[in-house]
Amino acid sequence: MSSTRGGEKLTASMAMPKSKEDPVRQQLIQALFSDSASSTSETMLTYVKIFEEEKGSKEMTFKKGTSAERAKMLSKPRYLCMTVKKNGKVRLHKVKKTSATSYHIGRTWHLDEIKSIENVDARRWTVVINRPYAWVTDVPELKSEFQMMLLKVLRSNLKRLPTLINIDELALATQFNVAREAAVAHRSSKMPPPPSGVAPIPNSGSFVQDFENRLSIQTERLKRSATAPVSGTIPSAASPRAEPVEPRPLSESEPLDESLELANVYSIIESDERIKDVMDELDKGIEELDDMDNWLSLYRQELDSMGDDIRQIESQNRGLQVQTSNQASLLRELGNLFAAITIPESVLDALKKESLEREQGIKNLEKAAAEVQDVLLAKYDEDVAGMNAVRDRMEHYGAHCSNFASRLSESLKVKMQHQADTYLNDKQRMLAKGFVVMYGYEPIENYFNLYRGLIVWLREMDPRRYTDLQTIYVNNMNRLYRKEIKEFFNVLSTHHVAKLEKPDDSEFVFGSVYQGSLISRGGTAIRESLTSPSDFTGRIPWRKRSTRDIQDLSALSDAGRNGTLYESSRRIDVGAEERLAVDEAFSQALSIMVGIAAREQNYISDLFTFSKAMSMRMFIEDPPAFGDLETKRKTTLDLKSSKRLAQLMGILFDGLSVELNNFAEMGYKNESVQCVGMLIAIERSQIELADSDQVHLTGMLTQLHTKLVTMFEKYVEEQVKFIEEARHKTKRKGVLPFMRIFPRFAEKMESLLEGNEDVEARKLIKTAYDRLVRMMFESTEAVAKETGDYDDNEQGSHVVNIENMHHFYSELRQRKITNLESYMKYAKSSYESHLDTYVRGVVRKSLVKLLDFFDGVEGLVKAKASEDVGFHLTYNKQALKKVISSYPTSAVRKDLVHLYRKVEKHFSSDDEEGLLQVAWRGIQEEFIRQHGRFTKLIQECYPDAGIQMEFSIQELLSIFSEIAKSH
Amino acid sequence: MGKKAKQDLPLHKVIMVGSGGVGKSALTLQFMYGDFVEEYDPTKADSYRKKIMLDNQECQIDILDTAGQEEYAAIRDNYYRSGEGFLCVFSLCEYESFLHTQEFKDQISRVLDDDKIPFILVGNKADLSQLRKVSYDEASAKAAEWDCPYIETSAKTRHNVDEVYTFLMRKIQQRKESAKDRERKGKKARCLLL
Repeated sequence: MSSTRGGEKLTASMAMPKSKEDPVRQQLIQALFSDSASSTSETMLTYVKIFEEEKGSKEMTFKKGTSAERAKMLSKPRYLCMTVKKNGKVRLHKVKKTSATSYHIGRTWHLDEIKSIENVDARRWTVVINRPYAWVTDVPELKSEFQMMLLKVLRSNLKRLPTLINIDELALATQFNVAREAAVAHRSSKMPPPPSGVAPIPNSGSFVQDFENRLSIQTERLKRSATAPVSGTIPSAASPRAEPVEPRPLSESEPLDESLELANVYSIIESDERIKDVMDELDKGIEELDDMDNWLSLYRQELDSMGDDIRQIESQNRGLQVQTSNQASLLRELGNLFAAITIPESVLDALKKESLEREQGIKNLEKAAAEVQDVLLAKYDEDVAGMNAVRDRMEHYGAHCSNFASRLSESLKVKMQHQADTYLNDKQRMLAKGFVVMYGYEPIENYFNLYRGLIVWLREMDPRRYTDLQTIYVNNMNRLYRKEIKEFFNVLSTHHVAKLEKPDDSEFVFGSVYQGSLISRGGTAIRESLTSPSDFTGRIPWRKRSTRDIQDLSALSDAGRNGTLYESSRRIDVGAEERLAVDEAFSQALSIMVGIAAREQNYISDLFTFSKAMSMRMFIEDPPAFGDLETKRKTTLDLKSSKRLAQLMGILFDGLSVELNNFAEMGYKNESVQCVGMLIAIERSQIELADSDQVHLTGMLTQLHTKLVTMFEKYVEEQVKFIEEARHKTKRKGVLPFMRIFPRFAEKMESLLEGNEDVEARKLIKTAYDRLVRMMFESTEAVAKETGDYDDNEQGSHVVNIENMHHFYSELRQRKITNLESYMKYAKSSYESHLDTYVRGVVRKSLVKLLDFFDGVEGLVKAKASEDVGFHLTYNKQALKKVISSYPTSAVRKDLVHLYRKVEKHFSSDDEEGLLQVAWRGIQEEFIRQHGRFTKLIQECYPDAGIQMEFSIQELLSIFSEIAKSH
Repeated sequence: MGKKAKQDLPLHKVIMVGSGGVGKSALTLQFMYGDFVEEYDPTKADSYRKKIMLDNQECQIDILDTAGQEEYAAIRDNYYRSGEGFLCVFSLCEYESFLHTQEFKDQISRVLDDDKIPFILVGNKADLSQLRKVSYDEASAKAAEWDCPYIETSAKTRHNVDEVYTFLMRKIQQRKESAKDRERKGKKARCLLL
């Protein structure tokens, strides 16, 4: 049934328009209903051309008129189009033709707007929508057909049909079916015979071509079979049978009700016997088509399998191509690889034979070594490295390489030994009195610089030999350094260090019996402050190296580097007979040694390129700069390298630490206070080395520093003990020895610290001050107390305090030692209060009776009224007379003369003899003051007694003048 | 041993005299310690000693700084006796202190009975020029009258401070040397007599 419909559809669409292609329909669709994309798009089901009569009334009046009349009236040709929307809504449009091909929709109606349809005559009909429309159709059949369609649509879409007037529905249906059947029958008779034998496949070479041929043949046939009935129906259209109703194309009737269709079909079948024939023909056609379908599927299968074959062949082809190119590139790679790992014989030969003695030879060797290294150290992936050929090569070159490494390190070892030996026997480097010098080793440095590249190579290729070489270098240089450093310190300490004849008996030792001024220790006894080490490093004198037993060096260097050889010399600037203080000598020596050792470390670091590993090639292309050897460097090395460097330095300068330690000990033994200067010198060097990479030196200095701190502490300890013991030993007169020593000690400490405020020694010294001063004050008190006890001499005890405190204060004040400010204040007030007590005490001794008496009187005056005093038994007029009479002028004179002698004796110290005048002046004033007080009390308490002091103030003053004149 | 030190270093005893507040202590402290003490604290008496180089010879100076306002001048007799040289100080800004110098001069002459004793008239506070009350001419006329040098100083600016002490010590030194010479001559003469 479906196939039947398919066939019908095909033929119907082909046969439909009687008016050939029906351009009007095409134009309408084109112009108005072709926009299928829009949601509002509509499909035109059918149309009919109408002429609209102007007014219903007019139409009624003219409906019986002639055609000519009618033609006049038919002023408005229109097209009535029936369309269906996507949603199935069917609408009517009245369309006006505006130009040859363009149309305009005038009115649109929904089906339910139609109120009634009325046939007026064969061509004329009236439709009432919102108003009656009177339309005339040219061809009655077209009108019927349209009405038929409209009715069907109305029936299927509306519940209630509009009023139909004068319309025979059944007749319309019959008319329609007859027309369609006729068209179908006609077409089947014209159908060409089905293709029983498909055209034989032409035996062409290409399958594709063959297929295409077949395809084109097939389509050609189909086209022919489709067009044939169309051409065939044209004449049949003229036949009366086939004229009225034309089978509507199925596409247009799809929205129609299926049952209607079925009914339609049955009615057709029932109404005509010929249908059977048509059906038979159709069945035949279907069989033909099934055949064709089978053929086509056969072809398809064949095509598919051929396609698979083609794909397979193509992929095989591609695989082959890849393989070929892979092999080509493998070949290329192998070629490259072998080129890369092949080292020319000349290069290997060079490694074996090239001279290590000439600069050019060394350059050649560097190049050769670089080539071998490039090959040996190149990164090959595992497979390549695993290749036998490659392995063999590598072994071969490895052997060459290790031979060369051995030749190189042997040669350098010999050279290092030779250089050290040469320098060891160099008489020009001998030191002598007045000539304390450390010479540099610049010629050796320059000499080995030539091998720096090869050493870099050795580092990469044979790390063990490289490490050994470092050890060999430092061992050999150590022989030199040890000898020369030893000699340096030997000459220095033998000839140029000022020593005390009697060890540790100086103005800075509190226990020493020395009491004079500064001890002269030789030429430049004590300098105000040590020369800063930086003064030396700035100007290292250079001396020209005479051409002698190091001609091989010059020969080498003449090739390109500096030309003439110079070596630096760092010298302690002393005259032949000049002697330096221990700390000064130590400071200078230390500065020189630190400079030399730091330089040497920089050199080792550069010679062995500690800073970074690099290939020979890198070295040749961009040799690492040789740093300034004199400048301290920042820590840049990794921990391991820096440890190694420190270790090498330790070997190299093992002698230095020993010498410095010995020197410090020697200096300390001779004069212990010298440890302070040495300590400060070390701290200064430590500051200089701070943040540098001089690990070894820093460690060595730390050790020395600790040692000297211990020495200093021991020194202070001893001094404290001396001061403590002094209280039992010294004579109890004048300024105590430690009081004399301390200001000088403090002055010396301050001068050493000057400009070095931030050093640690400052703290040590401050602590030492505290300990010493406290002990000094303690001992002074102790001595004073003993003096007092000794001959029941209270005044003597004050004198000890007065003299010592005054001395302490004025000496330190002169030296402006601000760190001791608080002790100075203490000393000053102690001096003042002791002086005051002394003066009062002395005066009291002379005037004891008077004082006792008047003190009592004064006490009474304060307690009661002064006039009561005279009634007091102890203080009555008689008592007053008695006490006054015991102090006649003569007795007072005698007493004062005696007193002066006593005071003079008290203050007989050489250092503080000025205090005699100060004290005596105080005593005179005290006498005058007391005299005034007595006189005043007599006036006040004994106003009418007429009693006066036996000695007048004038007499007192003249006694003073007499005493003054008497010496 | 003390004697040894004394022998090593000649000691010159200088005495500061003058009215109160003229700057005797200020001059002394400036000379001794190199600093200027602004506040005024009347001195009773103070003794200072310092080691100095005088014409390339190390020696000691002993300064007795005395009060300027004792009630009784006789008190001074004793220490005047101990002096080997005198700095008689007055303030250039206080005319009365200049007049008082006469008194000190007289007392020194009387007590020491020695016209040749090294003596310098010192006009201090020279820095306060706008407050000056004593003219240079007047002061130097006085000095000429006494046959002694006149020097103007400023303890504050240290102007002429070292100079005045050095000058005085040099005079003391010369006097001592000529005395020694005389002594030697005297001895010689005696020897000759013998």
